[in-house]
Amino acid sequence: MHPTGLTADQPTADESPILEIRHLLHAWPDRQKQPSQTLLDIRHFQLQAGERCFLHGPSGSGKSTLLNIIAGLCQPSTGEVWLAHQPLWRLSARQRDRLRATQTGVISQTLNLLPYLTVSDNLQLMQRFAGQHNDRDWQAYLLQQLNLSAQANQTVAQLSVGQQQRAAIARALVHRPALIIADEPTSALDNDNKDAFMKLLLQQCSASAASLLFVSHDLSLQPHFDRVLDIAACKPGYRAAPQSGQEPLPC
Amino acid sequence: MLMRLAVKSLLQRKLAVTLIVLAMSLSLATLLLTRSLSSELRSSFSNSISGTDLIVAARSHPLQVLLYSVFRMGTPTQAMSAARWHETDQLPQTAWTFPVVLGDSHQGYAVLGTNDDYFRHFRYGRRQALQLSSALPAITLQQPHFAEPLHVFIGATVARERGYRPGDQLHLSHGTHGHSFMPHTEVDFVVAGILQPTGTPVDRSLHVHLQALAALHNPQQALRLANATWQDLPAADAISALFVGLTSRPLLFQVQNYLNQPHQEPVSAVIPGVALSEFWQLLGNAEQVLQALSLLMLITSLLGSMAMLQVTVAGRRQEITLLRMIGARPLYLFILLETEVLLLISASWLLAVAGAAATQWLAQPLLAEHHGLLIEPLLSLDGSGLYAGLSIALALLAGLLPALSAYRLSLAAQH
Repeated sequence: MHPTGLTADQPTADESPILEIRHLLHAWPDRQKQPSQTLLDIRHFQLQAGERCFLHGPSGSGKSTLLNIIAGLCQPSTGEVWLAHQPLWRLSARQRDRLRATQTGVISQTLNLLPYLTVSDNLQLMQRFAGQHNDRDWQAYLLQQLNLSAQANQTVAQLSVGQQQRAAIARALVHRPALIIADEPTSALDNDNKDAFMKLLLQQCSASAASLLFVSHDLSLQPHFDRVLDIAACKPGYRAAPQSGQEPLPC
Repeated sequence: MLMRLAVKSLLQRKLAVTLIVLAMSLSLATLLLTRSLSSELRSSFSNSISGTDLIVAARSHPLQVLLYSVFRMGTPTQAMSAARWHETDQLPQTAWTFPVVLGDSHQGYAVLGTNDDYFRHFRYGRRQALQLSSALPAITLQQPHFAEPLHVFIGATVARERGYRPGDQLHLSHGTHGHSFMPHTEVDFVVAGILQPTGTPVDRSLHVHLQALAALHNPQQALRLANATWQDLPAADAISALFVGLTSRPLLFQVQNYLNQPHQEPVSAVIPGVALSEFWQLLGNAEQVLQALSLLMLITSLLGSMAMLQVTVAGRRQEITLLRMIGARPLYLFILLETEVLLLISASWLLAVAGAAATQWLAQPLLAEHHGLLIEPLLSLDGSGLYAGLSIALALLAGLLPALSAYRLSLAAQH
């Protein structure tokens, strides 16, 4: 059930990037304060399967909006986004919801899990939304990997912040998505927990061969990644500082 | 999983949910009780008399005649002469009659003066005759009769509540109030038998011979009553009402017209069934007003509950965003919210039925004791299915509001 209009230049699954953005322009539609100010302008961006990309930029630079566009929760003003070889802009809202449930695992700053369910219930719910059967062995394995076996049947509200963010990794990975989208997942953690979190996240992404798109303003995390991009670079009028040593997003 | 999610999500908000369920179940219980009690009262009233074609009494409103002669409510304002009684008794169309004399009480229970014909001809419910559950050895249980002038037959409730047994002695007093102002001269009546429970006002009555009652009211004769024989007793010169059975039902209106004709001593001949339905028309209006009020109350509490739910939706923005993020469709969120509403109204129904049943069960003896209203202790749910359907539909309708906000909130999360 491919959407109509797929052309011959559609890349094949094995070689093609898991995420591709072309000529993306986005502006807030009906904001009186900043009428039609361009927020995002991305000429071309690719994320390969298994690649880890660090995206940084000041708050208000449109990081979260970009993630919402990639997750299919929000439509860009113009431009093409391919997620897991599907042309997002051609899909119906329903198909985008489906694609998000099966292909992405999102970890955000807080509230990644329903607080009134147990950790285990949250994983089940995720698998259910992804249309998968309830794979209890896999869930138990994941929790064990994340050092959360003892917390499986506790409600999320009973967990510490560090445990909650680790459980968020399990929830993001339980349905074996191709892309993990992490939006400032460490900002609520102290340094010890942050290191443990990063270690486990990268480990688990490698283990399941998932790509990782990681957004943060915490530059100390850069060394963990294959590629570091500055989202501010794609603002109109931005010129990359040559000495920064960072690759700007191609604008 | 949807159900699990809805249940857990509701349990998360225990206080709000408890208040919502309490408000809704209170109004539902009111609705149930109104219905159940009015149908109980209706059947209790219509079961109180059967098989009697006419009740004849001194001229007054048919309802009034019915109320005092059958339900022991109020007192007759005028008496009917013994001459008129015997005249009616002698009519060729008359199969049987029995007289009743009212106006006395014993510890709040009505005292009925009558004769052996009462036990022969009185019928209640489905043409059931009065029978005794226990009696003095001289009296047969199937056919009670006044073997001695001072015998009294008491209703099942009187016996149970006052602990009377055959052979016990009791005093009678004048007037219908619980505490008599002027007790009759010290004359002891003897409990000759205890009637089986009937679920009618008979259970709360004491039956004595009308001649004994007449003698009791006459100071000179009352003094000699203690050891009186039947010959010593005066004939009753007046009665409160006469119950009449006809030889043939088609004669009913003819006899009624004849009796209602102008006469030097005018009487009212009342057809019990007609008077009962007139009574119900009167009460039916009140019943409808009560039901309309409880429906209004239900709607009010539904609206209040949904307003409360609406407020919680606004506070659940993060939860809704998260559900969207992990792939829940807006429709799923809509259904989730409506499922919560369905759970709330179901819980309210369960609580309402339990509460209403408990209330009726507890109220039954109190109603009987203080108001003489005889109802079943068990809640009747007849015809409540309509209300169940209606209230669930209304709840889902009212739930559209929070459900739609959740839906819109989830769409708004896309920007």
